Amino acid sequence: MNKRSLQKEQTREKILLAAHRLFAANGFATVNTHDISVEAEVSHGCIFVHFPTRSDLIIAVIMRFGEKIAARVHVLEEANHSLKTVLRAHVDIIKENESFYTQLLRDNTVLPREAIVQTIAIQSAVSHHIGKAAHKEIKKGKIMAIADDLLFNTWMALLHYYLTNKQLFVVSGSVMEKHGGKLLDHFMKLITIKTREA
Amino acid sequence: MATQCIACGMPMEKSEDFAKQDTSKNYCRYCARPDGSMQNYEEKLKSLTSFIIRTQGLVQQVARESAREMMSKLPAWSGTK
Repeated sequence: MNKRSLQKEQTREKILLAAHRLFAANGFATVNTHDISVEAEVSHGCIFVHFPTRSDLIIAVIMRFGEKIAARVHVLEEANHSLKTVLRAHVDIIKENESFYTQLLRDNTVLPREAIVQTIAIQSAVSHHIGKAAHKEIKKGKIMAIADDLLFNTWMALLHYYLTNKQLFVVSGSVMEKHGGKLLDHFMKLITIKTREA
Repeated sequence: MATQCIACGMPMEKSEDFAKQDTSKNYCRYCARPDGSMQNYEEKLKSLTSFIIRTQGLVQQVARESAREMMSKLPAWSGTK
């Protein structure tokens, strides 16, 4: 990569990071490209050199986040980690990006169609890896045989309820930090096959 | 070796990820037919739709439309809608 391409890449990254921060803080509906250019310390026109429309920028930010989340879960599942470890990694990455993720849930209806499709792709990738880790434990008789979609949707329902009602569960700070471990333990308890004690 | 499948976008990092474990191919094992050739548009649309339904339980119509839109962004199917 020559110096010019490298600079272009760095500016693109700077814009993506700035947009991610602002979407996390204020949601997708209200943040405009001018706000993002100020946050990224670039000219307003520079944004459009990299992203022709505001929608393109939103999609790129979501795609970048999606790749990160799916890659993290994928690595653990491939390394034959337990379902609980894979789910813990899922909680951790949501925790690290909690504000952004919660805004994504709240603003789902105002996102460009392409961004909604992108979130569907992300969730299917995550569900696939969770399902693969689960199948290994179903085969060993450790957890109940639950279809991939229901296993994933039940898990998501639990996490999303706490995320979207955060104000009910924490006064300040991260709801996943405070409750993520408890939710994980609870979920595992629900799906684990109890062995009769001797 | 790390690259992305042109037909579904899956990252391909290990030889097992590639169709027939052939790292010279630009599509993944999930996008290959049993003989190793790449699935055509209709086959891929059908398998991606099934994948979305299996993983998230979406209704067929929404899953198929989403799959179609995802595919339109991928090099193997660009220009298709």
